[in-house]
Amino acid sequence: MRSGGNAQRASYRSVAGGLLLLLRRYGMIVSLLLLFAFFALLRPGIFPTVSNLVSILKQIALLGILSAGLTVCLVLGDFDLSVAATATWSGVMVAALLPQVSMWLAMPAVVSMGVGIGLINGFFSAVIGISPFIVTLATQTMLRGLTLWYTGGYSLYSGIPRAFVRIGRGTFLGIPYLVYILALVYIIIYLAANRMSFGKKLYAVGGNPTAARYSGIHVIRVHLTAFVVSGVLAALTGVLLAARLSSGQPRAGEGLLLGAFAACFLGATTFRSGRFNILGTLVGVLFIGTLNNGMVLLGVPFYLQYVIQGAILVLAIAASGLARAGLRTPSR
Amino acid sequence: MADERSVERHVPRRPAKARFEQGVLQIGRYGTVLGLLVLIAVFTSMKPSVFPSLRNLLNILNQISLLGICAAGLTVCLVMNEFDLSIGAVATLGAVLTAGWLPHMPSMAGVAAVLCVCAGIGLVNGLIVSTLRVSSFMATLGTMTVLTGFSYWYTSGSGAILYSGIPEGFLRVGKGTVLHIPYLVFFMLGTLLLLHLLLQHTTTGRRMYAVGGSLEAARFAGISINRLKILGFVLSGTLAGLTGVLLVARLGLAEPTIGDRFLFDCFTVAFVGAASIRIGRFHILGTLIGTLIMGTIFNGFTLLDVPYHLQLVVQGSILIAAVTSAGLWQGLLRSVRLRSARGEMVHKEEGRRRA
Repeated sequence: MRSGGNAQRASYRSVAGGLLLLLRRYGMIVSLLLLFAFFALLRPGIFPTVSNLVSILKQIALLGILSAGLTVCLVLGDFDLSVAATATWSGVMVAALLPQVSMWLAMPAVVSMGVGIGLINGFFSAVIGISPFIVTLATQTMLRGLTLWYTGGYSLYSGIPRAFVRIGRGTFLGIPYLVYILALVYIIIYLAANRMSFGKKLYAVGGNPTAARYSGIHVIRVHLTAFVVSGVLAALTGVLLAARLSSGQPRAGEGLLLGAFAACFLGATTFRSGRFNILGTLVGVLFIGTLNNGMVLLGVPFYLQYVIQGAILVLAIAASGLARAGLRTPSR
Repeated sequence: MADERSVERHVPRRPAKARFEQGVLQIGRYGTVLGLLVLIAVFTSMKPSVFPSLRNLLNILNQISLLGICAAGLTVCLVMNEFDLSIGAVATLGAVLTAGWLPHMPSMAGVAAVLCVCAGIGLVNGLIVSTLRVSSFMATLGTMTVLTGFSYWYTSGSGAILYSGIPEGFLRVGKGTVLHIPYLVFFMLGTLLLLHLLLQHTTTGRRMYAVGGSLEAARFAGISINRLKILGFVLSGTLAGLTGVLLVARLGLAEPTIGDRFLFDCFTVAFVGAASIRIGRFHILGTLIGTLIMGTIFNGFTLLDVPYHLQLVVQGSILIAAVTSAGLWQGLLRSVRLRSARGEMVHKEEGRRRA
């Protein structure tokens, strides 16, 4: 009898555990759908239209590209605080280069600056061994200073060719170019992280660096690559930001830092158990984009948007943490 | 028995040399202090009439006082490996509430109320981190966003800047002096002293270091980790709030971005501090050194008319330089120790073989 009761209790537990597992894995997607339904109910004529969906996608494109690079770093546990400053710097640089050289030269030049910034971050954190949090804190401070110094605090907007601005504002088949670029970035990162040996190495080093080293993975190179990916995508974000604003603004990218971290951490609660993953990040970015778009349509004042965003961030992470705690107890 | 003695006879020479090497290498612990002295020397030689005066020293101390207070609170959290990213937003909120409440109530009561609110925010942070088991980075990122929103909301009715009706008596706290020493400096030194005593000389403080050293070991030692973490966040929140209150006392106004720069500055200062004297550990003395370095740079650069943007660049380079050099020294020290230990073993082996 007693053992039967135990078995029954265990099966209840496993059912509850299974539900928790589902909730934990797909909770973020469920909340995204609920959020969508909520806004669709409140603004039926405006929110759930194709043009608004396209505009949500356009609004999240830059945040999405930045977050994709950050995700690669976060898989390794490397906090890259310099992404937003890199984006701002790149936006200013491309706006400064455009009047002088062809845009097909200026853009690769700026993106290769992103490679350089990534290498510097990677060198100090992976080769020298300083915590990436400090290294990127320092590089972001320096980049912010350099940006302000170069621009003197003013926007650069003269001599930017129309063809360049079209990248940020033009559309193809009714869908903005930015959305295509976003999709391309996510496909590439997804394939690299899930279908190629790089992804295996990435998660191996992120899971257990010592074991990864003993199994013959060049750990330092993986860290360097991740920082370079993050730097390149941050630079690309900056270039596209300049194209969208048709100017290089010395504070344009600052707001993206927290958004990118929030998207990545929201994403880490989705699909893979408590791990950063690129599809999860995409869901996180979509969640933030939908929330912002809906709140603007509802006429929520901007300060309340901060409050709601922050509260939802904490709640989502806490909910996934609770689900994890609930999962852990039965197995103990 | 004879064998043992003969072995030992072979040993002494190398360890003596190694001990000397290690002694030299110990200087590395004081790298940041040396850096501070070099900075002082450079600024003194470039501005001999202005920089090295008592008045300018007091000026520097006055300038860094708020940073020191805020960074000291952060240090307590960092000791336990917890990040508090909300300090800047808490300082802003503290400032905004101070400027908003003081015109309507007695100063002491108003300040006490503001500090209670900020302590409450710290409590919430601590509860989220300890009971909900959210990473402190995320939890405080969230509360930071919420608080920023509150500050904007609170100031939105009055054109974003609150400055009217702040009592004169309160403003005197930010500008007054005793024996030419500004009150704010006393606030900073008092805070640093209290937290130093807490961290180094009380059971609570030692337990905080134990939690930071190894969570598992601390748990098995019967330390109530959650309570300590909550205490850390409450201290960090309260001191960030105090920073905000004193900001208003000094500037006579509050606006919703007033405390933002404390976030990155405090982290810089605390990490530079962790690269001094007791390398790899956060401690109040180190935080004070970091704060002094930062204050000296800003003061010297302002005297030399270096633009603010370049000060940011230098701030970043100093952070990297301090931490890199500390790390390299540490590595060198370890390799020398390893070498001397190996040498000792080889010697013993040779001695044994000869015997």
